[in-house]
Amino acid sequence: MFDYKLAQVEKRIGRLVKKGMLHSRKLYVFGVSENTRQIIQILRSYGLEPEHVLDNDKRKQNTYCCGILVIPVEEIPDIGNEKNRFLIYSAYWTEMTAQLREQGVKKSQIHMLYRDESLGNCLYYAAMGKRLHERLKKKYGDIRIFLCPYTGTGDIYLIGTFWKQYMERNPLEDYVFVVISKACEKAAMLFDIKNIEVLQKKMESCYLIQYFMLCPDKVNLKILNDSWAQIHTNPLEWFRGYKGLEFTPLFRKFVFDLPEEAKPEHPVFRDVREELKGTFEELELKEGHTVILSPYSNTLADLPDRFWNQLAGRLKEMGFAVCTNSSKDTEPAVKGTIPVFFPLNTAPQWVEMAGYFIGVRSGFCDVISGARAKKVILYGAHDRFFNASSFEYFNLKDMGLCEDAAEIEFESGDEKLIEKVIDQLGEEHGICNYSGI
Amino acid sequence: MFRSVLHIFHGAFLWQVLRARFGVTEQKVVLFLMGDNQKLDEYALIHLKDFMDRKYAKGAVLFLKDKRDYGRFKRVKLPEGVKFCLYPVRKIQILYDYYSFHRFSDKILFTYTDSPKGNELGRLLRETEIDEEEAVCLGLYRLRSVPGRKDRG
Repeated sequence: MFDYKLAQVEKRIGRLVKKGMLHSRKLYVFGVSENTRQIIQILRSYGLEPEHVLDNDKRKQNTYCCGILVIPVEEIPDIGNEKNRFLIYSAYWTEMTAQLREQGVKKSQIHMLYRDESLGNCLYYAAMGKRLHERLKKKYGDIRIFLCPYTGTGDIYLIGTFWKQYMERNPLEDYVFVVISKACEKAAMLFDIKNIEVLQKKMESCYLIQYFMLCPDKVNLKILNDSWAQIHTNPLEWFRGYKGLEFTPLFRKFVFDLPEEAKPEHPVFRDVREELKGTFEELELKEGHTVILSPYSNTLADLPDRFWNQLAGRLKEMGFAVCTNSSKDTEPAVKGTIPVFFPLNTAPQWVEMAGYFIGVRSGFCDVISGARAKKVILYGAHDRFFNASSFEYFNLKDMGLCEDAAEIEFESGDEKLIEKVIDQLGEEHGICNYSGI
Repeated sequence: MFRSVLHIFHGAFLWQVLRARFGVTEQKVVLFLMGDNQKLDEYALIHLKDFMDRKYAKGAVLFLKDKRDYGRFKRVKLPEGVKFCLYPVRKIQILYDYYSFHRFSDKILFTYTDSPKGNELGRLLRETEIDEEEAVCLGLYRLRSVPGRKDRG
C-alpha cells in the first residue's frame, strides 16, 4: 500500500488500540497479502499477535504469513465468540464481510481498515497528475513517458535487461524514464537508460496514472509493468503464473511486445575494482572469500534469525569473512557479521569481489544475478505468487537471468537447511577469484 | 481535461439512473455483455452462478446492447434472480468510461476485451494459450480457478 495509506491504517489501528478494542481479543486478519504483512507488523508494535490469518484461497491455507498460520474462515474455532475481532484491508472487503456475517460474526466485530477511493479522490489525483505531467513536459518536452510505479528493484532490473532490444525495435529520439525511489534509480542506472526521473513522492505515480486514465490521449505514457492494479480494467495480473505466464514471459510479451527468442541481457558492469578494494580492506573483507548474506525480502520468504545466526557462525568457522547486506535500521546485520551497504549500481561488482552470496529471493537477487560468484537463493516452499509458487514464478534460471545460481526451496523448520546451503558453496570453499572486468 | 471531467460526471449520473430504473442493489451483480468475443460472453453466463456466489449476490442484471443477442444467450441455464435488459451502446460506453476511471463497484463487469487503453484481455486470448472460459473465471470473475477443471495451467 502507498505510504499515505499505510499511515492511515496505522492511525486507525492506533485508535482501536486506544479504545481498548483489540487487547485481550482473538485477532484475525483476512487475506494473505503484502498489506496484511504490514498490518501484522503494526499490531506487533502494540504487542498484539493475531491468532490466524484467514484466506479463502486453498493454495494459501496451511501456509504461514509472517509466521502466522493461514486457515480458512470455516476453521476458526468458535467463530461467533464475542472475543473474536476481524481486521480487513482488501479491495474485496464486501465479500469478506458478507462471508463473516453469514458465519454469525457481528458487524461490530469486523474492523474495516480499507477505504475505497471516492470519485472526488480520483478527480483530485487526476488534477495532481496533470500538474506533474506539465512539470515533466516543462523539463523534458512533450515526449514519451515510461513509468515504473513500483519500488521493486527486481522489476526495474528485468526492464533494463530488455531495454536495449526494445529500443532497437521501437527507436525513440527522446524519452523520460520515471521511477519512484532512489533504489530504483540506481537499478536503472546499471543500464543504458536515459533521463531517469525520480518522483518526489511515491503517490505521484498514482496521480500520473489517474490523469492518464482520465485523458489517455493527452499523456504519452507507458507503464512498465505487465498489469498494474490501478488500471483495474486490465485483468492480466490474475493470470500470473498460469500456463507458463511467469515473470519474464509476461514482461517480454505484455510490457515490451518482444518475440519469445528475446532473452534478458545483463548490463556491462562498470569497473569499480580499485574503489571496492579499498572498501574491502577497510571492512576487513577477503576478496573471493567473503559471503554476503541477504536475509531480507519485502514480499517473499522470511527465515528466522536463528537460521541466519547459525549459518553465519558456521561460515566463520570455515574461514569466510561474513557480511550482511543491510540497508536500513529495520534490516539489522545478522549477529556477528559485518553490516555493509552498497548502492545497487555497484552491487554486482560487490558480489563478484566477495565471491559468495546467500540470500532469500528478493529484488536484490535479480540485480546481482549476472555477477560471477557462487550464489545460493532461498525460496519458501509454500510462498505463492498468484497462480504459481514463488519458485516457479521467480526462479532466476527460468527467468533467463542466470544458470549458475543454486536455488533452493525450503520448508519452515528444516533443520538441515544450513547443511544444504553450505553444500552448495562447493567442495573447495573459497576458490572464487574475482577476475575483474 | 474539463470535457473529460464532464464526461465522467455524465457516467456517474447514468449509473445512478440505471440503478434506480433496473433495481440494481448491493445484493445484485451487473454484467454488460458487449459481444467483443461471443464465446467470452457465453462463458460469462455459464459461470454467472459462481460469480454470484463469490460476491454473495442474490440476483443479477445482465445488459445487452442488441436484442438479437438474447437469442444466443437464452439457451444457457441461468440461476434464479437473473434478468436481461437492453441498454443503448452509447450509454454503455459512457458508463464504461466512468467505470474505467473510477471503480465504483466491485459487482459490475463489462466484457470488453481491448478497451480502454491498457486492457490486455483480447491480446491474452489471441496470443497465449488462455481460453475464454479461463479468461472469464480467472480474469473477469477472479474465481482463482476454473470450476470443474482439474488442471491449474
